[in-house]
Amino acid sequence: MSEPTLIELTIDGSKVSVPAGTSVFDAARMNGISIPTLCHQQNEVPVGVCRVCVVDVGARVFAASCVRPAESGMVVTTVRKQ
Amino acid sequence: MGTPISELIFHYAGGLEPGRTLKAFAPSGPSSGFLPASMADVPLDFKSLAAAGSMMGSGALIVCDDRACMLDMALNAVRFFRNESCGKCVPCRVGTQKMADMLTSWTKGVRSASDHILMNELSEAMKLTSICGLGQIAPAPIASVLKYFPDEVEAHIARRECLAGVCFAGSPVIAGVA
Repeated sequence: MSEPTLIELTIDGSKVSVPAGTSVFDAARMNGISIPTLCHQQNEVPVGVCRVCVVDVGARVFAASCVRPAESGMVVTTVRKQ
Repeated sequence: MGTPISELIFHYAGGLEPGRTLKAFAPSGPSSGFLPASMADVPLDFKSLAAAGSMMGSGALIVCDDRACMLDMALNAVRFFRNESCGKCVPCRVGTQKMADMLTSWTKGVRSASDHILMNELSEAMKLTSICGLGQIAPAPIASVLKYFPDEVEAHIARRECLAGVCFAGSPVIAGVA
């Protein structure tokens, strides 16, 4: 068994590393940042429909963090002042 | 491509009924938003329409003459989006219904003081968090009407008056609204 590849991303300004394939939601939670959600329950397959867990990943629209896999070099903002 | 929209309406499509004036048009169906008649010379291509704050896409063209109430047109468009919403994601399913409710009361002359803040927040939320293009584009018609025809909206609220005579009198007359 080889160690899972770690990828680095930035969540709310702090650099975190998580195994490849981790969702942004889990990556944040593993590092003490809790993202609110309604439809995503523990041990359930995420479906990404309630859109409460959306985060800003610098794209045109927000991404549902429960279904978006973390990418290397991603810059995620979970709270944005509108 | 590149044909001015006025040429498309007046030359290729045969123009308006006699005695009627062009009021507004939506170059790509309701999702592009409504542009005022003064912008009818915009060429029908992607860049020009994007520069005009609209877009090209569905191949539909909505033309409104002076008998159309723009608030009613926006309500009609948001009702269409509500009816077409698949219901998978919350912002679109609930947002389009909320927006339709809000616009329905506006056409009846009722608007609460916080409605414009709510409308802005709701539009922004739908644009940013809906899964697909339907929810992201549903706020476009009313946004364009508020931008280009604010007096018409205000007349409904302030004076309970529909400048086109569509609202406040039963069902709208849709003759002439292609």
